[in-house]
Amino acid sequence: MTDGNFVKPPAGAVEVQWAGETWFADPSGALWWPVQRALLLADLHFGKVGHFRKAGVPLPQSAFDKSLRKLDALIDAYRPDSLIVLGDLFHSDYNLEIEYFRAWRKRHRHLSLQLVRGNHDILPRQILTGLSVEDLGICHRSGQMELVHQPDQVVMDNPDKATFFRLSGHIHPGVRLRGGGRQSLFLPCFWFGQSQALLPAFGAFTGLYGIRPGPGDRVLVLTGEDIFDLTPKG
Amino acid sequence: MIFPQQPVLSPSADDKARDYFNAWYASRNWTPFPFQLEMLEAVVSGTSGVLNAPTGSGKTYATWIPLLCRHMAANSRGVENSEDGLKILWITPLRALAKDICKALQAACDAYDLPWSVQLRTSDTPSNQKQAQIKRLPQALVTTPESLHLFLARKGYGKMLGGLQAVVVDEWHELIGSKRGVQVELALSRLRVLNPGLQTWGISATIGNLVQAAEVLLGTGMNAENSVIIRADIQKALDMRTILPDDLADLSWGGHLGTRLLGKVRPVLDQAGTTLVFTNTRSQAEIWYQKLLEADPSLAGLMAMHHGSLDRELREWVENAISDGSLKAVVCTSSLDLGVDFRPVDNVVQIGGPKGVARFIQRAGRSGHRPGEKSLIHFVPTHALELLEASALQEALLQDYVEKRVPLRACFDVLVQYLVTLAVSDGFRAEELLPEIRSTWCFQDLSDEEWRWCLQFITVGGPSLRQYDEFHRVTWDDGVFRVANTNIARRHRLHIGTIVSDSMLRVRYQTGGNLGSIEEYFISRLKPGDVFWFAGKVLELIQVREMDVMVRRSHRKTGTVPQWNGGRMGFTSFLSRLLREELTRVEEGRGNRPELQALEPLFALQRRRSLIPDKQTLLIEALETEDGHHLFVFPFEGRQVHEGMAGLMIWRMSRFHKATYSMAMNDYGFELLSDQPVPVEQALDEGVFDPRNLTDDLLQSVNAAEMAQRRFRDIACIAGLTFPGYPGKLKKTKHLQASSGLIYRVFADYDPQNLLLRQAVSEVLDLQMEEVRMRAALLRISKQTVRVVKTEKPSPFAFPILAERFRERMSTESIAARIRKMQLDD
Repeated sequence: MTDGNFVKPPAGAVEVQWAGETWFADPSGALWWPVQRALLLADLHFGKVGHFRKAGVPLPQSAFDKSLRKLDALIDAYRPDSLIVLGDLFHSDYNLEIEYFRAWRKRHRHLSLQLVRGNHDILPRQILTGLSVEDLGICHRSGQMELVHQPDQVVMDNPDKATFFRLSGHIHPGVRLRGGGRQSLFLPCFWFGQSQALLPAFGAFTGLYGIRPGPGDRVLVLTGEDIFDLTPKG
Repeated sequence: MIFPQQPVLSPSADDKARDYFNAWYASRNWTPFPFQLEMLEAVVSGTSGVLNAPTGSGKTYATWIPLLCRHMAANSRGVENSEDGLKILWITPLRALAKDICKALQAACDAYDLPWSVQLRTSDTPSNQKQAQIKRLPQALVTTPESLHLFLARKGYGKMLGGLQAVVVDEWHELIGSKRGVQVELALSRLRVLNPGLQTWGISATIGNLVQAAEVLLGTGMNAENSVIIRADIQKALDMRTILPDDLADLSWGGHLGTRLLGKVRPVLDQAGTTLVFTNTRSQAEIWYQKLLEADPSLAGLMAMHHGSLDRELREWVENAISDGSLKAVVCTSSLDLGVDFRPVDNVVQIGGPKGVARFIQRAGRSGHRPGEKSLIHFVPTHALELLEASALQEALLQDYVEKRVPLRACFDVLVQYLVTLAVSDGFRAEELLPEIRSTWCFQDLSDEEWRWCLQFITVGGPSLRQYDEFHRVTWDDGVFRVANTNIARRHRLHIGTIVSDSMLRVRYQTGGNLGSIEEYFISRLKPGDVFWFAGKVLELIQVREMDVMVRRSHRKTGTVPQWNGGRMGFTSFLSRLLREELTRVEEGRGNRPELQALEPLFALQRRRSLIPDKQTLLIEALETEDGHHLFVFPFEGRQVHEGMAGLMIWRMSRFHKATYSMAMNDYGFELLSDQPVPVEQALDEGVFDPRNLTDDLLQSVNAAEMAQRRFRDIACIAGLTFPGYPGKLKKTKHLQASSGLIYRVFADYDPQNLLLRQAVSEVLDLQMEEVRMRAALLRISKQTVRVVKTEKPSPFAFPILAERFRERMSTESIAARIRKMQLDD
């Protein structure tokens, strides 16, 4: 990983050793995979605001634009060869936000964009093709890594009974922190277990689901601007 | 038939009306009270106004009979079709009342041989009946504010409501301080334009701002000279008896159930015909019902329960049984607060502090329903300090003072909903509607800019960034605002209203039969096989299927009781003042009321561990436990003011001390809990309770805490940003469900100028914390001596606050600083 193309990750990112490889967790919720020069993202839910607006619920349009600007900043900082989305790139069926995404895509036409399909990715294949999104199906394997949307996704085809390290999204993981004086905080997080890892939801208009890390798990908490290592001790 | 056999040919219709009126009273051998005669004259002359009369004074007929007389006198009888169409609307806040009122109004028409039909139209009315009403309109409709707005969402409503002579708003005091009151104001503004000669009458119990109540009802367009307030001036004697424990140790220091005094409450039920047992929450009603039955199984069949979550048929059965006098007791919540004059209730029991004098008197007034009878109310304290409240209530009854109900201003959520309502039916023109809306009290100061914002919000969905957008709620076509999309129209009709509850699921037996509805939140914590109490029955959860909770009867004796998330009321400022006076009385050795004497052991302990503050003293207690460092402050100003003061104190201390706090409060004081000692001496030196710069500091502290976000929940729902689940309906909106917290953050991040966000903040300041009250409280504190006491153990005053489960959080530290001190929850 010391070849000339290696870009030093931005100062805010936290190095993670997992599954025999080096990763960098970014405060934005993206995971940098240096070997592949790829940025992994989960649960962008693009078009969700548009979906609500189309149904007459007046949410502010700018929530979507902000997500795209966040992506711009990431691409600028890491200069990835590809973006790999672990499902739920789009929230629902076609709406106009997809056209704004198309315009964004044109500006980054040299970047490869790959999608592991999630339960929300119901857009027809030809629309994805038109957006230059490469469809990786519901499961994509690369070496020992297995990329899926849902952490409990059953993937039948494994003739060699090989062991995979699974990276997924879907559940929008968050953890509750407690402190003295009955304090508590509920924040999105990365979670790295023995053979599974979860990415936080990248989209702006998404909720949180509480998880309970066990001993030996690595947990990185996001505050919006920073990332904190809260791996349980002992 | 009481129509005079030979109608006197009077020179004027007015005299004719008087004849009808006199005939009514003569046929019953009654002499009209002076206020009833005043009502006749006012109504006959076409005036609008407010009738101030308590329950049990004959207020319904005092209003209805003159309206009928005026109609009959004005219409020569026998002319064909003269009776066609809707003439009078009767708006009542409670469905439970509507049926009895409807019957009473119809009875008067029948007695006059007037061919009128008086019908009900509420959310309980079956839809086929509603359809029939539209085909053939009755002459009078008894309805609720929500159902009236639904009517306005109907195509052709203008024609159907175009022949109205009068609108009566019953129990106006119950509506005026709420968003339902704003709904009434808006509907009235529309009806007045449709019917320029419309008479409007409000019926109100005594409140501290009756003149204002009349102004709000009649709108700013009404000339004050054309309106009157008629006071019944019936002073009903009220006897309050506090159920005292034999030993104060029988009462806990905190908690809200108070079933420990059950043994003393049970005999009270035998003293009279029907007893209404009022509780403050639905959970409390379920528990008291259960415990009373356990204590005396012979009550089965003679006792019933009534609260807003029960199925309509169950509620109606109970209401009828009260009318029949076949019940010994009904355990109920505010769902039976108001009542028609005809129900045989002899006795009232109030469980727990009523939080306000007006509400207490109102509930007491449910007994002794006949004019001249005495009202009797038993007060049951649920924890020790409520005896102090009982003593304050006794004092309040002597002082003859009632609280105000302050009308709301600038409720943009209600306005946005109303605009869509009108767009769903016949559409509206902005330039025509604006003056109507400004004629209401609530929106009299609506600026052009705010008006444009509301129109923009419903047409283009807020500030528009893009040329093309798919937002379609209300379209603007040829100057008329309309909803074209039928899905949006249907969804809007389903959620008209301002009472916001959690997503509700229907509870039903597997074998069939509805029991009522229950919050999804409660059910989500149960597993199949779990047992819970609902509708006074022990039920076993079988499964949840879509919006239905399937249950069967269980023979188990114990079960969970649902916690309904009702609003938490706080003491009114009047009751707070009385409370401080009661304490001063105790400190000066004048505490000779039985309630205060019963509290003496608690006072003794309070003196030992800390002290009892008199009117000149502000007590602060500092305590350290394994939870952290607690600071208790006792201003005795009521929950709302304490909430604001706690936030203000934290905000002002942040200038020299950054920390994170958990805050709890009750009506006596508030607690700040932190992981580090609270620098109270420095805080006092720096003027933490200084009334100066209050508005700015308060605003900052509201933004720092999450109070506005909580307030936004209702606003988001009323304005149509979130959709509550409806039992049996609307499964399809699941994909449009987002939590109001999520929406709040999206607005705060991307559209901070949104008027609904601003409304959330001003609701916190004006309604929740009552800035005006707080300023007065701080002024008072600035003249007091502050005593800081370090306690070893929680004092009796501090204990109930310490035990509060509902807590606010507020932090003035950076999130990074906080995270460094925290661990993962396990």
